[in-house]
Amino acid sequence: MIQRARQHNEEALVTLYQRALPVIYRYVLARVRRPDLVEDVVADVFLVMVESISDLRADHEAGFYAWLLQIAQGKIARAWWHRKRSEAHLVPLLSQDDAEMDDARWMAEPMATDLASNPAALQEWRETLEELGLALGSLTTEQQIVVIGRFLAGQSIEDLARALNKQPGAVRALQFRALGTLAERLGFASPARRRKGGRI
Amino acid sequence: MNREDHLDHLIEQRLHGRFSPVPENDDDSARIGAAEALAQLNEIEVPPDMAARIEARIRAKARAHRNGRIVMIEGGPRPSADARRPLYRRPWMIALTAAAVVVLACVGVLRAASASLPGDFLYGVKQFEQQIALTTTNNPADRARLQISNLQGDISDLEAEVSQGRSDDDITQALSVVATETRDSQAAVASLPAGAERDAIQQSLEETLGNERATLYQLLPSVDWSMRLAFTQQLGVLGAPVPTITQVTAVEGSNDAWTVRLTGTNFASGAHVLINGTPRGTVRQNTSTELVVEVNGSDWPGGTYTVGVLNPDGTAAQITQKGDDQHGGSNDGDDHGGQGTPGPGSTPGSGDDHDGDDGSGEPGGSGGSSSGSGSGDDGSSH
Repeated sequence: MIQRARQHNEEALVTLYQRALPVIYRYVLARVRRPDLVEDVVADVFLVMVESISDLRADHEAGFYAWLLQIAQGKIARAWWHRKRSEAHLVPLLSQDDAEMDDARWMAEPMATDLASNPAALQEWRETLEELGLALGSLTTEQQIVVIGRFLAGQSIEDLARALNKQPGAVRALQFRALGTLAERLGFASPARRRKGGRI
Repeated sequence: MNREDHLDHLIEQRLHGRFSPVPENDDDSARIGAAEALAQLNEIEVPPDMAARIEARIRAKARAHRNGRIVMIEGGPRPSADARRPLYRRPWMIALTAAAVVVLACVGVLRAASASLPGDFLYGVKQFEQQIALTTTNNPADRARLQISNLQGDISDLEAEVSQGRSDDDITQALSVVATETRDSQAAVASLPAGAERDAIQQSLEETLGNERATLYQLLPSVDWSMRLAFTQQLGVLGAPVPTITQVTAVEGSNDAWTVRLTGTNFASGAHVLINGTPRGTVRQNTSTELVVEVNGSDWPGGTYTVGVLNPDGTAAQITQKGDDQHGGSNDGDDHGGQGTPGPGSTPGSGDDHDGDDGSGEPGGSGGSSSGSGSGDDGSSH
């Protein structure tokens, strides 16, 4: 598939996109937290994928994800920079109330449907998402690749080791340190402060 | 087993839904909690409409890339006889070296030009290069393909202009290039003889126009009011259901309030009314052809002013009112700054099926009355 995509085969590129979209979308949403910006960033990531696929050296899925995540990190940084810059220049066209309502709608859109009818759960979810995004941003590039690949893309330690050109033990160490940092950032430092989590 | 391996063992157990022993220490417990929190992201669904929009752009980009390759192969320079001559003669070496320097400089300029955007110094070179490629393409079908490929590039340029926060002048130029290339692409495809080849190219054009439309919608929140009006106009050309204002009447009521009635087309539910570019008043009635808004006397401007409509999807229309017109009079057509919905004749094959709108089905009436006097420049003229 990756080899066909390298030759700019349209169907191969779209197949790769469809496979990677949920992972990249969830990652970008957590980091950017604004669906109106998320679509731009996600689209940019995949357009770069089309443009630069011939530069991809890996021929396995884990390497492909690692490559995409690095592109996404650059795009997220640029999006934040542009957003700050444009917010300084643009005069808001809507009132504050309207903006807050729109913001709530944007945030609600990607959530699970059962949350939409539960404001308290939705608020908790928004906070969790925000904290996760900030915590992820505090990890190194390699650590992000490991935890996203492991818990969002479902890759094994061996797959990730190939993608990062490391020994499996080194990847386990990266995972250990990354989860330690995440736990600290998310306030899981002690069991008493541990929050309700999802299933892995 | 070291701690890293032990943690991974616990994670593996949970990932595969098997019984997992309770972590022996708080640190592992906290790390597993972090992994569980991270895994919550998997509950987020990707919005299908967004996925479809991005896929359309990827397909367009993949085709543009492929077409670009073909053009390069077909139009690429052939090695001349001189270039095959031996290089051991010193005078020729010098001449060729000098020529190589010139060629490399030209190649460098062309490469830089290919990455330039409207408003950049080298953008003229890029346009010239595109024009040469079109002129040297004799086959009408290849020409249409190249035109569509150019349009795809121009849409990307417009996107880059906005995302880079360029000036309104630069964005206006980029939008104007897109509008021109859209018309030229449509004309090039329309001139092809009927048949399978034309059908394939027509499909490619429609996908590109769909991409153009999605891009314009996507960029609307990032541009200011005057650019919003210009983008809306181009969306109207593409057959999108954009708002138009044909008439505004204002009546002063009791308790220092004005009742303003806007007549037009495609007013969406939840539309806002803007006076002189600022949201004002409370909407009392909202149908697709009429908006009634009540404005406080303190917010009511004197002299010449603009009345605008902002639909929730970001499209906008605006009309200029003279002070004399405000007491129930209709507008002077020459003063209209509104965004018309051009008639279907100007958008062959573009407004047929994107979302079943009825905007393109209008017989050009609103476009003729509202934007006929200011086509393309209304937005920036206010």
